[in-house]
Amino acid sequence: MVGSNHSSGMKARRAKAAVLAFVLVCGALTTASSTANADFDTGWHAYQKTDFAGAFNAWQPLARQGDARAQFNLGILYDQGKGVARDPAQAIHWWRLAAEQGMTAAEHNLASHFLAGEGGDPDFEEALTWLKRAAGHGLARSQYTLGKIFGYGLGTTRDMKSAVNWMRKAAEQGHKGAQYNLGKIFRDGDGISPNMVAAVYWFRRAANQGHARAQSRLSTRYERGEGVQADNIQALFWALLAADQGEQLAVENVATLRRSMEPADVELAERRAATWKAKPEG
Amino acid sequence: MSIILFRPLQHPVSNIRPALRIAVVAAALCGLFGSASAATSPQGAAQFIQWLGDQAISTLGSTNSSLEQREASVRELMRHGFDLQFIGRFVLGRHWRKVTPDQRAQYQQLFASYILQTYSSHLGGYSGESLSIKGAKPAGSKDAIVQTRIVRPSAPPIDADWRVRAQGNQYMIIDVAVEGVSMAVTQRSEFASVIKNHGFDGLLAALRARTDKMPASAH
Repeated sequence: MVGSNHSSGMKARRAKAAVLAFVLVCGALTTASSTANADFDTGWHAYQKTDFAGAFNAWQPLARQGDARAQFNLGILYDQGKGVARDPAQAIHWWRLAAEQGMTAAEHNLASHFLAGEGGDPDFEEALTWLKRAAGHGLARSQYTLGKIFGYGLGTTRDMKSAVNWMRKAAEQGHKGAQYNLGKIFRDGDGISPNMVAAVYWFRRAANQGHARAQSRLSTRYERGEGVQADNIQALFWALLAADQGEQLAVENVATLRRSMEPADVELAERRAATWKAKPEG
Repeated sequence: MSIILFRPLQHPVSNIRPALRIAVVAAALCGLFGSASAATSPQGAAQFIQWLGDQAISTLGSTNSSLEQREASVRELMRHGFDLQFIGRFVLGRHWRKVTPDQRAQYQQLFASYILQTYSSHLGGYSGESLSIKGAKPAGSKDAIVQTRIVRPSAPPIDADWRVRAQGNQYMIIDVAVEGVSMAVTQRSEFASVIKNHGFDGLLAALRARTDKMPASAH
């Protein structure tokens, strides 16, 4: 009994010591992490005030300690030559470290770097590796670019099935460029059954967000009654918006439509266009 | 209303509201620098570059929005100080005639974003930076060159020479030479090489990637 009491006392003391040690370690970790957060925020405030040297000094030690956000941002400073001489090799180094920790933005920027080929030749194969990772992690702009690369057949064989698949994922997330491209794919039946109703659906989503070429293509669908009921007022309305953004085909269509329409209808389309506002998704 | 105001400028804009603002700015500039002649006045061109630099400073210096948004605003303001069609066509060289109208439209849109990002970074405006005009002189029969220096707090100064042409009633930048090297000429040979190795679609993909990186992360 005594032994057992003694033993249970020991156990209690050990448990207390373990709890104390745990609390101390947690405390130390929390302090370290809150210090890291404070340092990161110091860098962020300096960056926003365009004090890039200040941002560099705050982020560099954190990046060396393995902080993925600091590694990513340090890569941005090197890539843009902010607060430090421009050095793309350093940018890649820090983005690679952040990407290895699963940071999607870093995966995307690595892909962009290899695609851009600034000062050299684009490396589409290396870009594809990183694009697939970022796209797989759900980043819409990576999914869109991956769709484009499969559609062009750059660094890979042309694969419209994969192009449509990635373009659709980006479009569903609200990427207007992807919505416009998906519209074109459905219009032309490129690697998919042509479907003018689906084309109009995607052109419209991009057009509502202010995508000039989508507005111009939507105008044409209304003018020809393809995938939608023919309607010249709608055709002129969308053509006016696209023309205002410098879309050359739309400038020509505006002139043609104006000549063929009643003045009251032209005025109605113009009034609607003058008060229209883009509605970005998300 | 804004559509009518904006049309004579013949430039793309992302939406109507900035177009209105820029039309007002452009109108003010026309008044400021008077009517155009065949040769570009070096003094007028210098005032124009100084004005663009001041715009960059006041826009980047405000604290109402994120740096990313302020940089986008600078690019929108700059859009009307550059003859983007002219530069884009020059840089593409003989390939301009070989591509489809759709490819040309894609190229012009992507090239405009790229050129504004590249050139506007040479106008200064970030904390501690200053742009000074070193001189201005005529260039050829039509243009003026404005010589500037940007002093930066944590990097060596940059000497940038801006080639400006009076187009109608507006001054327009048509090239910038950084440390004596013309950007348009450099890009022309770079683009030709990408087209040769990867086709025109390869160039479009490369241009898109140059302006599509993710910005700095807040957390």
